[in-house]
Formats: sequence, structure tokens, C-alpha cells
Amino acid sequence: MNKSEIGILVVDDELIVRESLSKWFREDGYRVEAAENSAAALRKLQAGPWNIMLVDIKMPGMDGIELLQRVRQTNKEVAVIVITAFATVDTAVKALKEGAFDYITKPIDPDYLDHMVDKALQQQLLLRENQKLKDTVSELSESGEIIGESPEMKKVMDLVHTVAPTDTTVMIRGESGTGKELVARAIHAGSTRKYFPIVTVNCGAMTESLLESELFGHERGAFTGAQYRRKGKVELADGGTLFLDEIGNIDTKTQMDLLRVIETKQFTRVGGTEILRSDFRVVCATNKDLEGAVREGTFREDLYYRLNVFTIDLPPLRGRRGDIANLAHYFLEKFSRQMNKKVQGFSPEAMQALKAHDWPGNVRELENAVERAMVVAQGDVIERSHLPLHAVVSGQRDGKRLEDVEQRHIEQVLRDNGWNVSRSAAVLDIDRVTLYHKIEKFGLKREQ
Amino acid sequence: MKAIHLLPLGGPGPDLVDALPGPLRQAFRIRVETHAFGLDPEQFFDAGRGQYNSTRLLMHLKSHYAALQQEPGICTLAIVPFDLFIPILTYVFGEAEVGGNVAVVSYHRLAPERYGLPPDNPLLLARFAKEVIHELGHVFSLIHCSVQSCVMHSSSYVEDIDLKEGSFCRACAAELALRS
Repeated sequence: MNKSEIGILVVDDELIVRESLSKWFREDGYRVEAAENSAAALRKLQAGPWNIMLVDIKMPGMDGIELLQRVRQTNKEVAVIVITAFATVDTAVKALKEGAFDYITKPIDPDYLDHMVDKALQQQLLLRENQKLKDTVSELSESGEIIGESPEMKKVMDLVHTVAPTDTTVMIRGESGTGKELVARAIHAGSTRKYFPIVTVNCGAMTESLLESELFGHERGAFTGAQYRRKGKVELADGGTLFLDEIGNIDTKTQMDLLRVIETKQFTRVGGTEILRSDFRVVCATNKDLEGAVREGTFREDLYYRLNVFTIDLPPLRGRRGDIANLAHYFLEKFSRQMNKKVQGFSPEAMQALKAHDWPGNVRELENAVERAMVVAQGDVIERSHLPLHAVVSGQRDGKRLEDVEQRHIEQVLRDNGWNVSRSAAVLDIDRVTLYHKIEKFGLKREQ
Repeated sequence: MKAIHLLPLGGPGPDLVDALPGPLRQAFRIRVETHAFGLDPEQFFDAGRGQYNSTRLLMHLKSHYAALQQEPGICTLAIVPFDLFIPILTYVFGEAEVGGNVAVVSYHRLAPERYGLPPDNPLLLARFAKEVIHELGHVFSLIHCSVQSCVMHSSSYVEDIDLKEGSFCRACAAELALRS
């Protein structure tokens, strides 16, 4: 930063001090102004940005400490250096407690003054860089891909926003492909732990011993092939979030170890004796019937209750059909960028097919279907024939379920009656409240 | 500026004054003259601090010498042996009116023997010339320079003065050429 862009405001009731300091800093090339009292200083502070304020403690009217308090109420950035004639511990401590960068005694050693100003500017630069990095991290971590305008997904996002800032253990339940990991990441991104890592453990993908080593790490020589000490996911998640995916798949021995580490936040590496600590928040996910597993004795009841503190149920895609069009367009744009293809949208038939499909693989299946269609599409529109929906077994019952028939019928009646709910309810011979519930349940929306 | 008037006050050694015209002519490419000026420095003495107020001395010089010069474009530099201060700082080696026509430099803190070292006249002369050029640079509207070796680099201790050279860096030299 050019020195002429750095603003220094000198606040002192003595003219000679104002002039001396202003002259000193001007010789250094800084932009300098002076104020003869606190009121004038506050006016100047409002009028423009300042990097450093040099404030005399003893001034008639509002003194330097009071000015410092007033400045701190509205401006956290400007570095305030307090000038005092007599350095007393009380004054210094008070100034620092009120948020002064430092204090300096009169007369000032010129080298000390230059050094202090440099230090204040350096700190300001670091704080700004730090804030910039934090903003970047926030932006990156919050750029999750949770797409959904349906009432079901809005409810999910409300729950995420409610639970995220707390340190509560969260269990996310939902079919495979509904976006459980995305929700876990959204919870992490909304928490105070967001500047620490979120560490994912896929519990379903590992054998008993491998999972134990993955979770807790191992010492060198703990088992054949353990040539080096390795930190486990629990240790790596220190300060952040431990996301245990497919929690319903872990064996009983690891369930016991996991319960212990969740309760005590202490663990030992495999083959080690040293007790280690890790401060982490647990978010877990499952698509299994854990209550049934508890009843059958394959999942520990105590661990179940420890994990099932706050539950978020993710609806399957067929339960929020109103989101299908948005999601399809989102994936279309995503793959257009990735593949550098200019596909504009879906033909009406293709969109109808997407909306009517059952999506047993949920959002993941929809994403894959759009990706495949993008690969085979030659023109700028995805046609029905580009979609691989025929390959899905569940497609055979497309539109045949009673629920599907009901949804289609309600949608048709609403359309026929120009989305007049009272008239449509009368035609359907149900009351308006029931119709509203059905509209919400099926995620029906008036087409624009 | 057309000329620099050197005013030795309070009895500086002739070798110090004699050593200046050469480097000053080289740095500023204008005429350098030494003049006598009767002045009682005690009026600027601050008994509480045991030092001399350089700002007041500078203002006195401006009104009682610089303002009375018939020839326009005269830059006046007072050379003093005593310790200078500006009220908020513990001491200064010198002071100048940035973009004005007066400056003052003290050699009180420049001698090695002040720091318990044996006398070293060439070192004293070198330090003194650098500080004089530095303060006159301010008179020519130059501000402190971030280039460590430039004579316009700010110096709070004699060691800082020793680190820099007695000449302007390219940027300051160009700035000076514009101002001259």
C-alpha cells in the first residue's frame, strides 16, 4: 500500500503536539490530519477511512479513553495508539482493555514511534488478509449444492440452520443418493467449527480392523504393513466435524470404541498406549432402519441414543417432485460448464419424463441421468431419447402407483380450474385444507 | 531554488562547515555559500528537557533571516552543535520546513565519542553531510524514502545514518529534478 493512502489522525488538545506529529508523519509520506478534541476526531472519523489514530489521554471534555470507547463501538479496524504523559500501569491496562493497539509515553522516542506505526499497519494488514481468507473459506464452504424449493427441502434447510451453530450431534437419515453428505457439510459450514476440517469416514466401505485403524490411527508396527505412525480420522477432525457416513454398517466392537470416544473425546491409536484427545462434533448418516437394528441387537442401544440427538430426515426425490426441474437444470448447467457444451435445456417430453420417473437412486441418479444425456445429446436440447430412464427397473411402475395417479389427477384439476383452490377442492370433493396439504405433499407448483 | 545559505550557529568546527559545499553542490546543483548570522540560541533552550527547541529555532530563522533576503530562491540551513528536540519527540537530528526554505541540523548526536567510541572525524563528517542533504531534501519537498540506501530514508539512530548513502535513489533524484 502506498503511504499516501494510509491515513493517520492525530488527536491532541495541544497545538504544538498536533503540529509536530503531523509534520513527522507527513515527512514519511502519510496522509495526516489533526483534531483538537474528541468531538472533532469523531467527526473526522465519520468523514473518511483512517488506519491509525494517535490519541492523547488527557484532553478537556471527552478524554482519550472515552474517545477510544466511542471509536470501538463503531469502528473495529482503526488502530488506536494512546499517548500519555505519565506511563502508569493503570492507564496502560485501561487503554489496552478498551481496545487500544498500544500506548506510548511523551516525549516519544522517534524510532519507537516509527516502529509502533509500522507494527500497527502490519497487524492491520494481517487482520485484513485473515478476514479475506475467512470470507473466502466461508464462501467456499457455503457454496454447497443443496438445491430445493419444495416445502420438504425448505423444512430440511430450516433444521440445518437451527442445529448448525450448536454443537449437538446430528443424525441425517434418508435413502441413498438424497444428499446426506451435502447436508452434513452445510451443518459444518454453518457452525463455529467451519475453519477446521470436516472429516468423512465411510463406515460401510471398510472391514472391522480397517475401520478401527481408519478412525483411531495406528502406531508404527501395530500390524503387518503399518510401517509408519498414521493419524486417524478422529484425530484429524480435532476442532472440526467428524462425519460418520453409513453408521448403521459398523460392527459391534467398533460401535463400543466409537461410543467411548464420542463420550470422552479420548482415544488411543491402534497398537499405542498414549491417550490422545480430540475435540470434534459428530454428524452421522444412515439409510438403515437403526431402530430395527437396535431391536435385533446388531446396533448398540446406548450408541443409538448418543447419536440420535437431533434427526434430520431427507425426503426421497419422488417425495419432492417439485424440485426435479430445478435440480435437472442445475445439473445441466454444471455439466455444460464441465463438458464445454452449449445445451440450453430439456424438451417438454424429456422434462415430463424426468418429473414422472420414480428416482429410486434419488438426486444422485438424476445427476447421472443428466450427465449421460449431456454426453449423448448432439443439439442444444436434451430430448426424451437421451435420458437413460428406461433402464431403471422401477420405471416399470412409473405413474402406476396410487399416489402417482392421485398427484396427476390433482394437478390436472388444479390446472383445469386455473389453480383456484376452492373450485378445485369442490371438484375433488375434499375440503380446501386437505387440498393444500396434498399440494404441499406433492410439491405442486403453478407453471409460469 | 538558486542557492543554499549555510549559517553556522554556536561555533561548529570549521572542518564540518568546510566539508559541506562540495557534497551539497553535487546533490542539488546550486550555489552554496556560508554566511554569518548573530543569534542567541539560549532563547530556544528548554530547561526542563535540557535541549533546544528546533521548531522555534526554525521559525525564528524563517522570520529573522530567510524573510529578509533580497535574492529570491534562497534556502537557509542552520548548523548547530546542541541537542535538538521537537516537543513530542525525545530528540531530532534536524528539522526542515517541507517545501519551504529553512532547515536546521545538529551534529550533537553524530559524533562516535558520544556513544563511548574513539573519535572518528571522517565518520562524523559523512554522517553530518548525509543529515544536511536529508533535511535539505525535505526543503525541496522530498518525503522519506523506503529505499534503505537512499539519503532520504528515515534515520532515528546514527547506525541508520551509516547504513544509507549520501546520495538520492533514482526515484528521489527524479523527484528532485522536477522540484528544482
